[in-house]
Amino acid sequence: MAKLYDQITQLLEGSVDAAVVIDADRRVLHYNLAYEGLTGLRGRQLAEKVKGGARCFELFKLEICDQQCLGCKVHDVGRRLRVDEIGARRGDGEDLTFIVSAAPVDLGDGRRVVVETYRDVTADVRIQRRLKVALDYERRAKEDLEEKVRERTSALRAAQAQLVHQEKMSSLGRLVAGIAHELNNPINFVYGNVDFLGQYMEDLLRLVALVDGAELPSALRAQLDVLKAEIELDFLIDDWRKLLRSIRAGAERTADIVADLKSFARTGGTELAETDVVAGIDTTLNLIGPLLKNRVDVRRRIAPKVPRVVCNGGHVNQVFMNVLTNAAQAIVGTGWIDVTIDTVDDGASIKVVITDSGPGIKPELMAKISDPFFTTKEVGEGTGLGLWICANIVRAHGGSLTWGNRADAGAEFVVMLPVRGPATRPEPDPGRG
Amino acid sequence: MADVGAPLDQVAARPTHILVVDDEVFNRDLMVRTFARSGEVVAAADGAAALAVLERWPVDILVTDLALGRLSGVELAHTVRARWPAVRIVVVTGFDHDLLLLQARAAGVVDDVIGKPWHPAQLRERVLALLAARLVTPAAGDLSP
Repeated sequence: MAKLYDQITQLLEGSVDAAVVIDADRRVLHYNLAYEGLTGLRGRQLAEKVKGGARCFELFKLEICDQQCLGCKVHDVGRRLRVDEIGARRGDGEDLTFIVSAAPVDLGDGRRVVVETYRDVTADVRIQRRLKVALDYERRAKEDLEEKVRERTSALRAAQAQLVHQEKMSSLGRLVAGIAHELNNPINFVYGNVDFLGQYMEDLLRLVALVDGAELPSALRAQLDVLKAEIELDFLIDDWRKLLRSIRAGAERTADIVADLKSFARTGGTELAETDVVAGIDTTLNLIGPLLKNRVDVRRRIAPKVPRVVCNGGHVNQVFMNVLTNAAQAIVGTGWIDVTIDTVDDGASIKVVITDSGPGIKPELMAKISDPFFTTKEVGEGTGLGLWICANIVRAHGGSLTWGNRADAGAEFVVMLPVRGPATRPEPDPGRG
Repeated sequence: MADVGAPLDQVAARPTHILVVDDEVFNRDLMVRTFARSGEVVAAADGAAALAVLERWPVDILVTDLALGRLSGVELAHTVRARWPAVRIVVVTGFDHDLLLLQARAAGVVDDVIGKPWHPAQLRERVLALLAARLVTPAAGDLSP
């Protein structure tokens, strides 16, 4: 069987990989030229050590030798094994990486040897690592770029949406202002003339009373009585005053609506002015009255002497309009809305809390409801921009808009606004120099 | 409403002269009606007509609508203030946040601004209060409202 052994050693001589043949005791029986290079020993030194029964790990030690011996294992199990990327220090001190492969060879005379080969893959591993780093870098750069594109796209979309919404609001503002102004004149002459009408009629009635109470020729008296009966004078006098009251009430109510429309429409421009936020909320509640009618009980708790707030009244009214409308729409059937207005931070801020008896905000949507285009309403019923715009408006005023659910009720929205307005004014207010 | 009657200052005893300007006929009529018992009232439908009246009739108080078409109430006020500084000027308007109007008010060009819709008693009271103020401060140059 020496023939097989010779064949193996001849094969190993031609191998580029370093190789040794070891026995069960890990004594080196044979090594090739490439192995010499690994040990760092000169040919004769190595030959003598091998002749002296040196074990493989005494000549060239892998980092795994101390924990487990690949050769022993292969010898025991009689099966080829291979380990990738094993570190080892070459004889000259350089740290290298190897693929180590060990195969058992039965020589036929009962002896089993192990052929162990070491392929130096240091350069391959280095290249692979560099390649991996380069690929990782490229992948991250691509992800960053995609993320940036996503961010920019969403910022653009948001900016466009805000523009569209602002344009819509300002068109609506202009329309409402136009209607309010056109209504002003006719209301003015109805409203203004009612008192004259009343006064003139009272004057005429005094005249009638005077005539009626006077001594009249009997023919005239008879005529007068017939006429009084015909026109039902007593009823006429009574009803006339009622008519006048209803005309005045109608004109006054219309005037109130026009005043509401005007204050709602005053959204143009960016000017800041001292604004009565409490009155703004009252106006808003009047405007959304039809949504609330006979269904939602609005309870106001307003602290005494709430200060006026430096803000853009139109924009701030829009915030309350939005929050109150949402609250009213959240209530299915009957319910209530609580509006609490307080002065906080030693008079530096006002705090408006709007709570409703609706179902509240679903926890999973809590963080999303102010995202642009987020809406729980049916298509066409809401743009999903309202609360997002509100958050922007409040932020622009240096305030905060927060929300949550109350344990004992539905949603709660809290608007905080600094009384003195945002720290830096977007524009000086020329109207109040 | 008490009738203030004739001014008591340097002007010879005569009824108060009130010029009302509004391009809307019903409102113009209402203004005439409102001041009918407070003095002599002349009405004009626009700025040019108002100036024509001022040329030949000594006006104590001008009450004008803001939106008049060609010449706005504020422009009319500036012209009148420059040429007839003693005239008290009241602007009636639906645009009570009009910037030019607020500036004119701040500069003393306009003595008072009254929002629409106005109530006759309220308008009369405010206008005649200006007249009373003029009577106790004879310095015609004092334009503060």
